[in-house]
Amino acid sequence: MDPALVQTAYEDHATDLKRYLLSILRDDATSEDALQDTFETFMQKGDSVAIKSTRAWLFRVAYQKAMLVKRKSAMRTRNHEKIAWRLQSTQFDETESAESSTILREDSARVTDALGALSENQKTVVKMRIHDGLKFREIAEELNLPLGTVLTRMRSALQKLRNELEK
Amino acid sequence: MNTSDQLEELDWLAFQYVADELDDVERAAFELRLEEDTAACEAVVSAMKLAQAVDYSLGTELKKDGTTLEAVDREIRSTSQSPATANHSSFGLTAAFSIAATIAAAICGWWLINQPAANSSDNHGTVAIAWADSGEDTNWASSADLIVADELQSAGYESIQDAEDDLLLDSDDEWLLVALVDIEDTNSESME
Repeated sequence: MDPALVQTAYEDHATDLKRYLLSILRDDATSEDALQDTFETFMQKGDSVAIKSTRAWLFRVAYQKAMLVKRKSAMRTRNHEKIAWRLQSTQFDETESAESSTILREDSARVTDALGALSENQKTVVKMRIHDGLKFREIAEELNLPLGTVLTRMRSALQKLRNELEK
Repeated sequence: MNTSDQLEELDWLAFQYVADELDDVERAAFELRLEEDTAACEAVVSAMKLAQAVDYSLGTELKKDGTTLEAVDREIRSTSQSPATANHSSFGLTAAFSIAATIAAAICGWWLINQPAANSSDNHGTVAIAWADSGEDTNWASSADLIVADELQSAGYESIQDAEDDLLLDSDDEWLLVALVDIEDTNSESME
């Protein structure tokens, strides 16, 4: 496999693949290992992959690597304490490439605007779930609301955020 | 259910997966779907991205709020004392410190000079009394005014407190410094 193609594929897909692996494995180190294994496999077998479907192929390989790690280690017991989106510790760090970091910061600025479009009720639930890391059940108890109400607020808030960001 | 609803449903499922809000059965079913369904994989990535960006934005927002609050707090603290008050307070502190230092030095000096005699004494306590107000120099009682505590009682005082009360000036803004030191026997004899 041409190293330049691997490099390009890495630049295009590694960050998202890492997110994907983190959501499955919920551990930064093992996710990083699985990511490296995925691209190692890509280097060995990537010649047979059509460029158009590289991303889908990488997702499939990454999934297999993640499941292998899960089976090997005792990671079946999920870590409920960890917030998956915080595991990617370098997300907004200086270690992130300058270009990628700038894009994410711009995203964040747009998200801040989008958050302004939410009602106070929605924003409260979003903050408690995403920033404070509370479970929906805990939020319902905290706000003295039915669980269904909390779920509805969160779901509609996420939908609104996506719509705002797609504008 | 149309395509838009299906996508919305998938996004919601993906967010619940990322947020670890699915039960074991739902989770296993969704993971099976991830194996072949690229749209589901993309939905997971999208949910992670959105959560990361929202978390970051809220964190920044809260930091800004914190900074603003700190700034307001600093402002309140800095304006709570007018310059005149601050100067007056500063002068008062300096004066009080100077007076205290002078008294301490005087007591130490006196104690050093009289130490040999004090060692041979019967450990009679002496009350050295000084008073001052914030605008004037400290006035120490002269050595002749030093009163041996035991002798106070024999002189008709019921207690040291009574003696102090009698020696105090009545003015409200005057305050009293009291130090208990040893004194040689000869002093008590001379007091008699």
